[in-house]
Amino acid sequence: MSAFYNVAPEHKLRVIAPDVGGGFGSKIYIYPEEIVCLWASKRTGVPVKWTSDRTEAFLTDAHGRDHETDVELALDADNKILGLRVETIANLGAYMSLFSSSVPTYLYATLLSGQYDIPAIHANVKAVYTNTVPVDAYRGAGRPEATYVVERTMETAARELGISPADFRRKNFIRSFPHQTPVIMAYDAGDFDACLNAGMEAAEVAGFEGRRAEAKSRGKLRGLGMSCYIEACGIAPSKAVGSLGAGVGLWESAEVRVNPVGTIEILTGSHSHGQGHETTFAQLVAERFGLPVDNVQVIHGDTDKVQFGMGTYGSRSGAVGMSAIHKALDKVEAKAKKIAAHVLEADEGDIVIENGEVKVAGTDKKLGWHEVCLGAYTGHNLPDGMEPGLKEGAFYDPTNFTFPAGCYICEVEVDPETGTTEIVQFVAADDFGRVINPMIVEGQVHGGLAQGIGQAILERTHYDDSGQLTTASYMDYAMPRAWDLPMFKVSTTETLCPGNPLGMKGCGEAGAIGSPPAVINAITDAIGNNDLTMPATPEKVWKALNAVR
Amino acid sequence: MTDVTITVNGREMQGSVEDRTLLVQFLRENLGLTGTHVGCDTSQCGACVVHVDGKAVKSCTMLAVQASGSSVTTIEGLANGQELHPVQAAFREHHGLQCGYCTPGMIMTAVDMIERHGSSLDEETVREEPRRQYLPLHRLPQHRQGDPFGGGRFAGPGHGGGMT
Ligand code: FES
Repeated sequence: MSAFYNVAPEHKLRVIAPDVGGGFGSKIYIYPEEIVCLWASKRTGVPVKWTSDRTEAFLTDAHGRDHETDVELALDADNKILGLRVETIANLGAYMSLFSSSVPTYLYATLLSGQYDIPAIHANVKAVYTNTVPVDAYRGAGRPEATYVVERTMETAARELGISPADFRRKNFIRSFPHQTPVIMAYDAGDFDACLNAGMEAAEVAGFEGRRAEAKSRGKLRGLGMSCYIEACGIAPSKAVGSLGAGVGLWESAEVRVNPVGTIEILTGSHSHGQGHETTFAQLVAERFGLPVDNVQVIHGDTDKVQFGMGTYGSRSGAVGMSAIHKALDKVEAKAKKIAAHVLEADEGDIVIENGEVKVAGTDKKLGWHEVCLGAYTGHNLPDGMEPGLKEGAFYDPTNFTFPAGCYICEVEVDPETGTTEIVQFVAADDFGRVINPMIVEGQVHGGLAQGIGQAILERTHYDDSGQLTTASYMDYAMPRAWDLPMFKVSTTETLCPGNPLGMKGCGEAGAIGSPPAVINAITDAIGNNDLTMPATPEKVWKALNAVR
Repeated sequence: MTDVTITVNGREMQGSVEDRTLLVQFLRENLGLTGTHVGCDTSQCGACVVHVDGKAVKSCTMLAVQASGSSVTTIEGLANGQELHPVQAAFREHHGLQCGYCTPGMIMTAVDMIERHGSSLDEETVREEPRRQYLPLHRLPQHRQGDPFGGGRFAGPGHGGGMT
């Protein structure tokens, strides 16, 4: 804000962002209202606060998605993919928003290879200004759009060829890594067969035809749809984004402050707005030294405390933010070991830290973690030349994106009389690399699936002919509710990400990325008409069904 | 302006409000009880649910003057000192929230359901009842599945029996 808007010199500007509610992309950008508040406050000399009501939020918060795409797929006689051609028109809305031009380009076209070995890909994206609310990053940002194109195309091709959608995907899976796609991305690791197999097993695909027949006896049309997504997150190597024209580097910073009593404060640039960093980051630190999790405090969201950070989006908090913490912890551990070796008159290489104790391996010589920490600050007995204190910082710049992938399988029942779709089963089999807190990961998947299913069958932004937004309240804009969703069947497989020290890939967007094509593939399978757009409202489904009856 | 007297979380509170003042505005702006949130302005989302005379009510849909003489419990009144209400504790334990914005409404709704249904509360009711009440359990929070409210942990005294 200081550099771009000149509201105040950087050293006099303090930004505090405590609990800010959910993000989902829409809070990344600098909104005009924020700048207006600063200006008004300076002008009047009093604090100024901005509150949007829900309708104002619909009218001013950036919207998401909004592509129209034509796609062609070329296959050889053996059903191996030869090439993919994509023509996309992407709406940017009426004004340029922070990421709006990079979403349908760098975050979209670079993922058009999906999980498949495709020798040639051509993508032509035309970004257009219109009279709508600006369209920008929204949970997944470009990757859901790419996944929708690829996975609807794969399913369609398999159906037209009369072969099993799973076999067609298997035939074209990438199996050796690293794999350079023709669209910039170099996938580092993955096991797409493992996800597909886990998904098919959990979804009991083998028994589907029986369930379809049973549904038919009740007058319902049952369909099954699949989606094998890959996405790129852990955003992003600074050099790579620099070469694409970004004005910033996308590293992350961390500071580990060990107090004299042994408690630890983690200062991170990865802001937490519901992702549970306070838990996961603290777990990482506590497990490393064998300390109670309550002894670790995570501090974020205050520019007077945390010097720099690039923020939380694109599932970068684990792969990038925690890697920075990991690097700083390496330094803390090394110094603590040096101190302990000096005090215990042992070799530094023999020191181990576990269960809150700093020990000489194979002996009963040890110090409590808190004793080493206190020693670092009293400075009474440190190795010659060592600075007192136990506080280290690190910056981490990733070497590549990370590539979470998975297989989602959706089963629906359509009521032919009303066109209403019920999601009767949803399976998500994901590979997120190393998982630190399974409960938080599962929660992220649940939320993402709800959003993706909402996009597929409910959520619709509509303007009338005069440009009036007619879906500007929750009376007119349908959000998924508990009864719209089944109990999800969620599982993970694991291939470690070689690009960061923790082997993590990220899970924040996956659910929203992988689910929409699975839902639409299932509905089109149920009704026997592939001509259907999102959201598949009862009216559209009923019409599509009757067009082929 | 009209004088209102409302017992909020066990304390009698008085205020002078415009007739159009909503209960949620009175709670947030007059009393500073900002734990009750406004999510939609149109009575769809349920972020604003409080208990009025023991019943779950969307406080954006009731005038402060209508609540005069009533007893209101907000999310701030649920815990017993430092000790969380069992439903709060279960949400915490099972990470039954994400950003937390609508969580107060979900917890007040859940407590109301448990108190009304007691031990007959089952998964089906938990999923279906919000539809009838038109309350949300939408995409911000993440529901722990199979055991949405933490299983038999509510059998404490005063919390209307347990869930099995
Ligand atoms: S604020 Fe949404 S129902 Fe009251």
